[in-house]
Amino acid sequence: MMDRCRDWESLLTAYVDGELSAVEEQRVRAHLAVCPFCADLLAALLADERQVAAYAQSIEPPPGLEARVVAALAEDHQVVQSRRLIYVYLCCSIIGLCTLVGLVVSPFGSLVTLAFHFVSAVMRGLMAIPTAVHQQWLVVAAAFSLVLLGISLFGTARVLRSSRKSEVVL
Amino acid sequence: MEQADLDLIRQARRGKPEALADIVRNYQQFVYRTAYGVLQNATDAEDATQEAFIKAFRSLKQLREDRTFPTWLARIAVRVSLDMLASRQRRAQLPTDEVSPAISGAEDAAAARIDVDRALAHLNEEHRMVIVLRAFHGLEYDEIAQVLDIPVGTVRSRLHHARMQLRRLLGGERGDG
Ligand SMILES: [Zn+2]
Repeated sequence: MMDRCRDWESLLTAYVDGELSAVEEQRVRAHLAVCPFCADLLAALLADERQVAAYAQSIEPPPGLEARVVAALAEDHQVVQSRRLIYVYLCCSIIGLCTLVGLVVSPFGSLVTLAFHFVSAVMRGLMAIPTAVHQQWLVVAAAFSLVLLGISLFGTARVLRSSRKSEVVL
Repeated sequence: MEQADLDLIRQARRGKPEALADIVRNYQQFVYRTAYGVLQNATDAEDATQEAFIKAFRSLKQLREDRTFPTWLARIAVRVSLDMLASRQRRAQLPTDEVSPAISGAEDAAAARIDVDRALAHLNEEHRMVIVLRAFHGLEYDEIAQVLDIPVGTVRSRLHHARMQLRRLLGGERGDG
């Protein structure tokens, strides 16, 4: 083997891969025509290439792999989704808490608190009436008549409305 | 890359589960062969294939161009396999010499396959990877450069040294060193 052919070796592997420039390829061809050593090496490299390619072709994934991967992907998707849901839940609760605190602190919040105090005072006053007058039956009767009044007002309104409608139709 | 595969990737981006299953069907051999080439072990290659697909679909948004999907997937498969190889070496388990169940076929061809199996096992990681990407999958030099994140010139010199090493291991004639 000639020592100067060492320089050709690196070109030969790229030649096998078809990754040489046109000029380089021309030079390699010219050398191969006159150098039996490099011609032999090229033949051996091509044989190796075929052998490795045949080896690669023989590597087949086992039959169950596809189903296993698809199942793993579905499971991973679920894990990711549930993690995302937890994040959403956490964000919502934090935002809710902040809004609540903000409302209580802000002027609007104190207005709301004031209104709440007012309503609760009125309610407490109303609740105190029966015991104050010592005559619960009167309160019950008053409440009952209020309900009756409401129903009759509602009924009258409906009758009036329906009669007006029928007039228009006639 | 075929138009059908491009359509599948577009559908997978929209989160269509059937598209994922179809992509797995079309590319499992590609990923498995890559993983097997690096890991030289059927069980590890299966695990690596599964992990590579999970990683790929989790980060599908990071894929800038759909048509580069195969090299992008190969890149993930190579990285997952290398990580697995590193953890296996930490566990100090050497690749077994027994014939793997993934390699099967007629008696005469089987001997040649075992030769390649042994030869690949003797190559270092860097050399084995360029052989897997070039001789297994026929990737171009610039594609290999993208997958391995190295310059094209390095791909060329690595492939040269890997081939000469392989030559020595397979044929014993005019190899490196
Ligand atoms: Zn020569």
